Amino acid sequence: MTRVLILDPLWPMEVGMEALDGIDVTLEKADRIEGDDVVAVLAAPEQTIPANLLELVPNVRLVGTCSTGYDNIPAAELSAQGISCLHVKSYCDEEVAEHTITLAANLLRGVAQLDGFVREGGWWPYPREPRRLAGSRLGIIGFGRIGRLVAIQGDALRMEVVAYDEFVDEATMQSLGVQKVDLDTLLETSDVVTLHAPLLPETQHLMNARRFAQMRGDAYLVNCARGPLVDHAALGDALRMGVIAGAAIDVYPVEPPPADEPAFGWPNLILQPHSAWYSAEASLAPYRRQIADLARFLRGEEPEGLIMQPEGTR
Amino acid sequence: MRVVVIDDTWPLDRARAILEPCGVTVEFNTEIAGDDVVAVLTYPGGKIGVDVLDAAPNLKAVGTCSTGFDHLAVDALAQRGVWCCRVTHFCDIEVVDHTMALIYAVLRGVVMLDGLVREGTWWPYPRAPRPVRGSILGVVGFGAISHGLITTASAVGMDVRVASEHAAAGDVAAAGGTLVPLDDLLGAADVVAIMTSLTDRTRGMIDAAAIAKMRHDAYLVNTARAAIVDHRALGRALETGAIAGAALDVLPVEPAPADEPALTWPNTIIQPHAAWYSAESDRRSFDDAAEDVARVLRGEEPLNGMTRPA
Repeated sequence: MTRVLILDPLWPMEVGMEALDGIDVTLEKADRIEGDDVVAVLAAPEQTIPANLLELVPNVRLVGTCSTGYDNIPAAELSAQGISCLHVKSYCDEEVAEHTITLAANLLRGVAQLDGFVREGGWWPYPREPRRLAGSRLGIIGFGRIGRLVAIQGDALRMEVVAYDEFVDEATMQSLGVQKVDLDTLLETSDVVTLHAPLLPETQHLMNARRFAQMRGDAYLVNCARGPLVDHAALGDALRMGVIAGAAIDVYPVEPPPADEPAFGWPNLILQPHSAWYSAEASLAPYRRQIADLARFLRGEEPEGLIMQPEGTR
Repeated sequence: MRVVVIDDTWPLDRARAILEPCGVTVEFNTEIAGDDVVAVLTYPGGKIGVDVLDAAPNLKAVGTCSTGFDHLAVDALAQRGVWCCRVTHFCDIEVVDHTMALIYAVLRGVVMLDGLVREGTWWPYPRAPRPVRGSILGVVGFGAISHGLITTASAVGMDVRVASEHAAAGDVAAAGGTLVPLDDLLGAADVVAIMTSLTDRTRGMIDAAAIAKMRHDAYLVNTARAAIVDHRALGRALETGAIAGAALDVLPVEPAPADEPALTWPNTIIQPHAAWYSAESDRRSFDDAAEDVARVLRGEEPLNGMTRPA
């Protein structure tokens, strides 16, 4: 008998278990990592896997995190010691793309602002004029999986879609009806600028005061990617000074935002609780996929979410 | 001869540019009175009954800057020789866009989530965002605007069902939807979108019994006319959780009075009759109405006249 430790106290133990039918293994929640019979340790982003894992569970062969980001796993060190490392690839791309388009459409049509306006006794004229989605220019920064899904939705809404991504060629973009442009053109011409770039040292504060100044005065920003892609203070200045017309953010420098988060006082801003990823299916998908990958690993097959193969095994 | 404009937001300079070549003067006035009044330009909040002829017996045309015409006594005025002209298709794109924005908003919960963050809540959400692709959109009515909505919603991957008494299944399918009986639509839809004009047949069509057929997790979006839906029954359904929420661009009384009950209903987005609006449609609504009135004054057939005068 072998055991798999699950460090996440909120892990839904009923999800995806059918994948393990016929495999002689026991899954149990644990807050301590110990036991000679432990072959795998699974965690959520909140739990950090220690680099000295083999001292605690000498027979461990696999660790996993039920998230796309895996900064909680010392993957290089562990794989050097012969341990496979798992994460979950792209389980909520569709949701993030739909949430992004929702926010873009709601900014252009002024939905949240008009709702507040009616509740304050207003009716006409509108404090901000709704604009057409059809023909509005949607500028996508970062044309990976999510950026492409956003492009498809924007095209379906008859928006004119342009994208900036150094690593994607013009033909790939054209095949999705998207015009490839440079960053300056995107910022200067888009009605809505939406961020879908990964957070890297070179993309930190991609949107700063200078880039906000390049945007149209009637343009909107959507950020459903990562908070530090935007210089938060510069966004506040751009909103308060009317450099841009508005923004919608799902991500923050600190999450959850503290009570004194300055964004609560900025005008023309829609705030979301890092919810773009969510649907009932997406909320369970990472667990389902990780359990399926665990089953593959235990059967000797290659898991889909492998971060790093242990050295010398392949 | 005078054309009286009873809507104080109407851009008079453009109305003058269109109508003065017909030999009339154009003025803003709340009163429609005088033998010299030949036409009236009005809006959904400005009712024109047949009694207007008591004070303005030589009236020939009434133009409204709206598609809806339930504020005009069309047939009675036609019997007394007056053309009623509306404007059509001037805001089809905008209403489709706004209705799509509201469908996205209710399914993804963005307005509710914005309020949640501002109250200091983060997780878990009281009402979970749902996928748009694959969700069932029930469209009630099959006119030009619903045709656009069906096409757009199916393009973003929604499963679109349509209920209409007069539509042909083939036409609905060509637009991207499936024609179904209204009861089936109500029972299946994640979002029910009201897209029909207000007539004697559609008034109160979505009554308590119809709302009761909706799913408990379904949303109602109304960018058409408030009177198509039984307002009190909708309020009860929202307050008791019989349906998940609503987005209303139209209310029984507009502008909304301070005691409008919908202002206190849970999970309800309210819009100030804004679905029709963009800078482009705004201009077209006034200009198209004025141009049709000018056609009548020149003795021509209006493009969007309704009942032909006797």
